[in-house]
Amino acid sequence: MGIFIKEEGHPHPRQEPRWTQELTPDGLERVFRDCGDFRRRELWVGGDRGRPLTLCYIEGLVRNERVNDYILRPLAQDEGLRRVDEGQMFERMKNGALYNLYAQERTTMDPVVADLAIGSCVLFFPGRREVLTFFAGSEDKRSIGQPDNEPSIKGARDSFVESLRSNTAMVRRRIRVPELRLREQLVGRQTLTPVDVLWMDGIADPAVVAQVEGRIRSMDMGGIRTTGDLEEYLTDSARTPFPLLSATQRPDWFCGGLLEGRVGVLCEGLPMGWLMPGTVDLFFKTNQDRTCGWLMATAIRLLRYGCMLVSLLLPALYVAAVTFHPEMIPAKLALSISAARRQVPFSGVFEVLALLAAFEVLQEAGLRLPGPIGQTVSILGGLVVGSAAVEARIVSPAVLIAVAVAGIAGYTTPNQDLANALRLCRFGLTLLASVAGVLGLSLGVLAMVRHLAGLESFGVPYLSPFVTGGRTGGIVRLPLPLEKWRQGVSTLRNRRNQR
Amino acid sequence: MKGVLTALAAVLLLGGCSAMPEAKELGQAAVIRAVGADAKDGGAAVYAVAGGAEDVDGEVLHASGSSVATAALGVQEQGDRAVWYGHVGQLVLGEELARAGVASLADYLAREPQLGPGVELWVAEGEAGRVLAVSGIVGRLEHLGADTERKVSCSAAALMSALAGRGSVCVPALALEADGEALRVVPTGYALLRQGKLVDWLRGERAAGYELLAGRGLGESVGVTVGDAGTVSVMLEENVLCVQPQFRDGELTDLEVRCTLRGRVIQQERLLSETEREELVLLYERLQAERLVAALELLQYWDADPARLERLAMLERPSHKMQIARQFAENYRTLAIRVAVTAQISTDGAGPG
Repeated sequence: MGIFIKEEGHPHPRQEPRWTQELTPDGLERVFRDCGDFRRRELWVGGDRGRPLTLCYIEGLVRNERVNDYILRPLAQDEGLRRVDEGQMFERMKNGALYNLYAQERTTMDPVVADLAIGSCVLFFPGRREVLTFFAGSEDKRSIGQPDNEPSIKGARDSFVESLRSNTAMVRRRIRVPELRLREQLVGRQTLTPVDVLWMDGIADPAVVAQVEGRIRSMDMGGIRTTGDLEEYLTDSARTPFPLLSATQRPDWFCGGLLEGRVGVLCEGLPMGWLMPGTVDLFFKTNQDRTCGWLMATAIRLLRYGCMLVSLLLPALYVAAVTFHPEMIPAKLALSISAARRQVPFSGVFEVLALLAAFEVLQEAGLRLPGPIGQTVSILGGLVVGSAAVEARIVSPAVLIAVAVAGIAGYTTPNQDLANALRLCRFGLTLLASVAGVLGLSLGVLAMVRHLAGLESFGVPYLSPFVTGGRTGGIVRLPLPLEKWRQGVSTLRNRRNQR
Repeated sequence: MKGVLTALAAVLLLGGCSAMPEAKELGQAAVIRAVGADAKDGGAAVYAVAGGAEDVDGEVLHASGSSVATAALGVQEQGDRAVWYGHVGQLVLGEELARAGVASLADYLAREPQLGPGVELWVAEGEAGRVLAVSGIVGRLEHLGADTERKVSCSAAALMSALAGRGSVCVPALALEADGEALRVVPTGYALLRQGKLVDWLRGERAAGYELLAGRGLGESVGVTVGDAGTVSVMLEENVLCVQPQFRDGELTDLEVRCTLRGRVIQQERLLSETEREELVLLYERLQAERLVAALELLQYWDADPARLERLAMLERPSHKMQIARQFAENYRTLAIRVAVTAQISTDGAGPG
């Protein structure tokens, strides 16, 4: 099996086959030279010195009990294996004499090495060029826990884990039809990480599925270590801070996306699932929207959109109003701001930018430190340092309030990637407002809208359903029996959701 | 990128921007909330109340100049910060300045971008500077100006409009009253400005009559003595004014001002009999009619129509618009104006005593 496709003339060509050694125990040992966890053991079938076999495995990757019970014990005790010739023994082992779900016949070195790397053991037969590999992996993994980043009040509480198969099983448990398709590819020259593409056949757009698979296939990298290693290769444009894929920890949200006709991606080692195409409405929805009444869900969505605007525009509006347009501020508030600002030695824009930066620093420090210490840092920074700065007249209270309100409003955005993009834009808009007031702010917003309108995710406009004239908007959550059409993606094969 | 640049250029050009806006930090500006203007030495003196809060008096800056505009610019040099007139809500004119004429002041208000047309005008009996020196003056003026159902206010826009039209307007009047050792500002009625100059004051019953003519006076209570029943207090709750022009041979002969009032008894000494109720209504109607007549007499004397009776008559008889305009311009002083007041008084909720 070729793991990678060889591309002639490529600036970074791949060697195919990767390991050219002869498929023998000695050849395998040469491949794994200087690998302290590589193990090789000589066996006699049924204790017969004349029937030797060689077993190779990677210590730690295989589970000892499995190898002992399902490989070594039958080899030592099965009289039938001892009585037949080597050819028949090979066939019997391959077809069930050894108790294992996975028995693969290999004839080249590359797949054997790949099998060893996932926890299989290899049986070499003297005089035969074929080998058998049996999966006996230890499957050490974290137990399924709660989705820390996407808590649920009234809903499922399981979360994706680092094991790809556990994750696909969680999806299969929710979508129990064979129309849930799943294709796997190995990514990473050095890591050989399995990446699965999932979609609902008959609903998802096959062109999007093909695009996703094509992008994964074209990923030529050392290995996948973080979510970014996958996202930046899958996304349509790296020149935008806005997320074009939706990442989630929640299997129920992931399955909801698949049922809406999106294409999902799961990756070994990463406790996340990705949904694509990513449209802007997706980033303002949560699973909670379907667990409360439609009126409440719509109100909460409106609140989220409103908070997004507050988070994005409030610091910039404050700078514009205080610096260029004091007449925008009600008289009594203007007096209060003016009185407070008289004591502050810095300009309004410097105050706002410095506090925004301080807010980011506090947030970053809170994230990097262990939980309790992080909370302490946030409280100390937010309350103590903030109030001390106001008392010391280093910043004015209005700025502190504006920045804090903008920051807190930003936390209502369900998707962290979108929230991060908005934080970045907030700085830009504040700078523009400091240069030209509301005019600069308007230009900034105009440029932002123009940028968003130009984005596409797998051929779907990023501002869907607002720009595609969807039958239901992204804000109003209709009563579920009336939600006749799948939302978000406009290129589905089947848009009807129910009768 | 080309699209973005085109959009930016379009926005700049369509916005009429030839340069970046000028920055003026709020913290470095003295926010002026009330301005007073007096005539002084052939020119003007301007008083500006800067800052202040609920319980803290603002600082009064003042400067003189050859005109209100130059004096207002002079105020810029008085404080330690730049002066910001963008939040001026009240403008008090001194009596002498008002008598001399406010046309040039209106022109200044129209030209000064920071002073909007929504600035409320007041005329002080005496000097505006003394009024602005009273403690808590900004809050007091804002409070008086907020009573728009009862009193008639006058904005800078109304003054400009009046100057552009027949040229009469009533501006709320203020006076200083001793309150122990302190002074307090009290409303005294209205200053009648004709062709931009203060010509007379409407005080007491005339001021109340003018408020009725302007469709206001709501919430005002009057005491009516009804025979043996003593004094009954009636509060006005609704005032509908209708002007009915009468024509003969196509010419306006007289004007009927119909005022339909609805009041409510808010205090009485005992329950009124049916006859006493009827008497109360008659007395109330007579009282209000006398007020209207008193106000109209003064306004006709000065050939002033600040209550816009002409416009109401035109709305009533749009087909005779031209005749009404001509008659008002030529014969308003001598025009026969009949007043008819119809009142309904509710006694619901009023108990003995």
